Amino acid sequence: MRAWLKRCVVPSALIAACLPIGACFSLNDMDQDVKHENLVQDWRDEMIYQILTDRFANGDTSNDWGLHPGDPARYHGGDWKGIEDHLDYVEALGVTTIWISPIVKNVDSDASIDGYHGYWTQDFTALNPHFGDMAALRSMVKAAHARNIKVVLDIVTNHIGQAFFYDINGNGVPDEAVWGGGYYGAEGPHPLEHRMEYDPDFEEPYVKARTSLGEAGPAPIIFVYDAASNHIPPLCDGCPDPGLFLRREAYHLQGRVWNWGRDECCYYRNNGLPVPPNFNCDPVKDLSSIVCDQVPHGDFPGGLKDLNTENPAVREALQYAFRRWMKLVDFDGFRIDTLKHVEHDFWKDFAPKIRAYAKDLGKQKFLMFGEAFTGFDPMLGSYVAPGEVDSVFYFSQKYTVFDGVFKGKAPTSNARQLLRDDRAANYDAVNPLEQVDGAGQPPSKILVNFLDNHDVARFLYGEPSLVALRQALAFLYTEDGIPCMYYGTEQNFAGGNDPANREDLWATSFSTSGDTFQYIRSLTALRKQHDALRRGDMTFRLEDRAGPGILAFERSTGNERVLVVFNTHDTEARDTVGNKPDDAPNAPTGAMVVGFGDGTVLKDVLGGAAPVTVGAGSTLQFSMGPREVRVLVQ
Amino acid sequence: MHSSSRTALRAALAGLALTAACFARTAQAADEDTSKPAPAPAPPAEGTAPAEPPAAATPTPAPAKPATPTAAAAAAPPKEEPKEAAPKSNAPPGEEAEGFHFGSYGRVRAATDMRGGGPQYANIVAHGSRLDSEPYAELELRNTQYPEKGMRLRVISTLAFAGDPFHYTGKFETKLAIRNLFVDVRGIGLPGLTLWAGSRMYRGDDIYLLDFWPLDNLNTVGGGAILDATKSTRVQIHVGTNRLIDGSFQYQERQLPSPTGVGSVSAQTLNRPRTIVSGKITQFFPDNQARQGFKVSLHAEGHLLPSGVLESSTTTVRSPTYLPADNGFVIGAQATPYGFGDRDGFAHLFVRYARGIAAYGDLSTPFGLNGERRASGASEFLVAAASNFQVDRFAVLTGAYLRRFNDASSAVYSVNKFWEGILSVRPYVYTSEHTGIAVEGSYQYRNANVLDNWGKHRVPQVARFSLLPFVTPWGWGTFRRPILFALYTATARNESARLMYPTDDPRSTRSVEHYVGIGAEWWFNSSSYP
Repeated sequence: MRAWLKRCVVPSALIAACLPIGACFSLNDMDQDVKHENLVQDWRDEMIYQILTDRFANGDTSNDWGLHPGDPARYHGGDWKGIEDHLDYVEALGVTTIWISPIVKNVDSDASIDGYHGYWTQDFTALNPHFGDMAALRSMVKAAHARNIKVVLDIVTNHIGQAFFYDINGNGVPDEAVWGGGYYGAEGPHPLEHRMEYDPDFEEPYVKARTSLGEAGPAPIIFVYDAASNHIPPLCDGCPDPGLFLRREAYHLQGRVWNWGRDECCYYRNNGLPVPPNFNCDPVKDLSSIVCDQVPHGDFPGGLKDLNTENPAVREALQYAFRRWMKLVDFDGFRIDTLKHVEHDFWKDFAPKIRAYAKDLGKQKFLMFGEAFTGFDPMLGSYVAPGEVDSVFYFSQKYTVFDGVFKGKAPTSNARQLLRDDRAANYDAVNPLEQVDGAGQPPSKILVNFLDNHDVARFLYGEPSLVALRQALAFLYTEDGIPCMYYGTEQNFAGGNDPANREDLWATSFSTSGDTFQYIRSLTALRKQHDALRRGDMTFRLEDRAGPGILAFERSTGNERVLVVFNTHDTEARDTVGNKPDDAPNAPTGAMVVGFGDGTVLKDVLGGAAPVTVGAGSTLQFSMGPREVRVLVQ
Repeated sequence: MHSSSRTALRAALAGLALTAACFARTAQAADEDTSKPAPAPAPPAEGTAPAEPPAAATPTPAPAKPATPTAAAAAAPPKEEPKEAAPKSNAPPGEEAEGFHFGSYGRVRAATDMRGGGPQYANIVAHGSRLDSEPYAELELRNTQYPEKGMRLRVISTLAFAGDPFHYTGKFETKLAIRNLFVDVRGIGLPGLTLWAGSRMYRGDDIYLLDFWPLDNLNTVGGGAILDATKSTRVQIHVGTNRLIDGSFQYQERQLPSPTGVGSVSAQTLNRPRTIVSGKITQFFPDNQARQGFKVSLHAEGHLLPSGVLESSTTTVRSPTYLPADNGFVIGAQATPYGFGDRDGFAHLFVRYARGIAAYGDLSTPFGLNGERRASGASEFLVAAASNFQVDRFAVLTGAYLRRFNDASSAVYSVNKFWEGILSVRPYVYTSEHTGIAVEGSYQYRNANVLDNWGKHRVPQVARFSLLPFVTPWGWGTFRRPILFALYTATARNESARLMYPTDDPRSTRSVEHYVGIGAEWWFNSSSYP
């Protein structure tokens, strides 16, 4: 019997003995506590590459849920594994930092449009499963860091996804209603009014309940529950007050922005400043609360509910959520969404605490740059005031210089005006110093320069001029600040506005042989080679005040000087003759005067043009072909 | 055991079955049957394999459990069918009589979670404890003929019902499937050759405690041959197909403009059956007539899937999705000593490796495909064991497996790359001739190569203890049926196991789950299997 007993027991005992084998997974230490590295010496050395995670590369087909590859507003399959798999592509381009889409779990789909971009937060503390898990994210960051590529995380504090609807008519379901008779009677007009309870128009002081008998106080809010599309109430696991986002106090509840206001008016009103007389702001049309309160307090179009960031509990929750990600993943900075939709007091509270936490983690030079979608430079500059963010996304430059000077036909002097004169007024005057425990440079030295991004049409859209693109890229990588390039620029993507500007990069097979890719590669290499291009002062030398033409500036350190010259004219060659930046308004043009000594021979390290020699009095005159760029060094 | 009471019970049950099934079984045959000594318990492993419905979905995405089980294939000597001798028949001695026969497998339970709710199931592995099985029944109708001496012809159909019965739901609805619908004929060509064709649950030995056929479990429409080449060697081959109605992988039906010019007609625009070829050779030592011996089986499968084209939208015109041809294979082996102990002793050891589409099982739509939409790269490795040992009034059943699954995706970290395992042990003691009590202890875990949102590598684990007092009308034997039983199960989950469930699922907060119930399980006169 004993023998039979053995026969019987041995197989199962064997399996029992084997069971622990299943515990033997190699997680490559991804489950260990994150060690925070300090890879950034100076953010001016960095070159950012913006990645829309869903559109960059699909490296993990196991998370391909609900893909609609043919529809630009739906998930396409990109993920963190895809980024990790193609870091060699990023590295080949020469960029040094990647900025990735928000990582948190989103409302999956709303009105058949997906949260593939990441800006529809549903759970502040869960990862978006379309992009991978914590191991995949950490692995990607670790792999990037191993190549000395830093990773910046996109975060959103202004709003969450489509969490609830305003039950305006009190029937408990989200309606689209039409009010009014649409006629003009003796008692007055009764215009038709369309109301959508998911996304009603902004009103003061809150979205009101209504019946046919009139207003009835604040409209109740009802949270949606549709697990299939992850339309479920917002979550924040571990937050100090986990139920906060289920209560009214967490939101402004004023409805969707329908009047974006004039930034040059509302900026002054909302900050209690006198409006300069030349802005001609109408007290009612441009400065009333119904106009200027919409941006900071209104829901973002699409039903994205605006958080009540004045509420200390909301601030505490957001602090908790984003500190948590800093601890769990070794990010090197935050790109912050919708800066101007949140009050300055919030940033003065949020940013220093984040910096202090980074310091506690041992993370130095943690960069926070924000997106204030405005071309109004004073407004942009206001967000880098002491205690606020380190830098902003330089929208005013995008409009004035890249769209105006390089893509349009604006005078090249506009670049000098913005980058030198306005910058001094709007940034250096606001905050000449680096933020305490911040990114390590004064804001005006680390503005994040860009041609285009996921919220605007691509540079090549509409007027697909590759030569203009290359000039713009040359400017991007030779001016001061931090260059930031949107993925796909290197592949000549030319999509229009969102979502057409969010193409699948994998459609290009990640080719590195294209002319634009190679051109960018040469620019990033130049920037790496020349300290002056990264850290040098920027001195404008020549400009054209009438239209397209010559634009010249120098970048210089104590040891090196680089002269960069553009001819922005599409068809005409131009001599390096024009106005000096400090010329009086009607001053005559003259030859360019540079910072190099007489007789210095300068060679073009970008295009390989023939060397030129600095003449007497440090003048330098030569002819530039249409759309030519030269980067001249001694 | 008192033979008189056994005889009476057998008579009552047989009569009940016959009446309920309205079968043309003669009263004389039934009388004869009841007058005989009690039939021997089902041979080892054979009859230990009651069919069941597809497994309940596991909380995390996992390859679907092979979904259409049946009774186990012969592990040991050929099953002895109840003798129903028909006068003037060509039926060989010891074989069932000509005519219609009824067989059944079933299980029903009523249970509570002791918190005012119904039973909450707790398995976290693909093939967990059988105690979590939902009600299920098979009704088998079989016609057997002996056209001439040496030849047997059978038409077999098995109707299966899954889910809670009417008296629980109050609804006239049930999940219904035809699990067997085939004809087999023995004795044409070679004496030991059986040919079959039709729709068939086609499989070998199982792990009773886990309700799992670890080596071979195929569900196809096709045909095959079983050759008992010698008394010690059995060779089986089979080819069959299935084409799942999955809507996106094997099958798509669309509305197309009618050729008449008016209205629409439906057409199968994606229709790519999977073809499965299998072969199995079993060697018995000393031979298949021996009450005690040893057998070894080698099993192999080949899976082929042709290419197809999927329309990604049925309401808009889009670029179609090309689905490439795919394939896969299985190789496996089994070693089984049997016939030891006082009753039906056996010990199975299985090893199986599958690759490609075969790694997902024949009734699953592959997921986590690679960038070419193929399953190449997917794999499953399995080691499993089961045993039965009975001495006097004591018995012990065991079951266990360890499984490694990798989907075909290029992911390194994925919920679809995991190890899982379970060990279950159920000792019995018979307290009288018709009563007994069993206890069952089991442990299971699932270890996926993934971190949670906190960066933790979680390994869900479940440990269970169960108590089963039972009534066994046919006396002692772990595979004697029917049984009536009461059941108490306490299931302990670790935090990781609780986190496998959605927040509002009660199991997400219960570290200990209770399950109290009563139930019954039976099988009788089921068709023989290869």
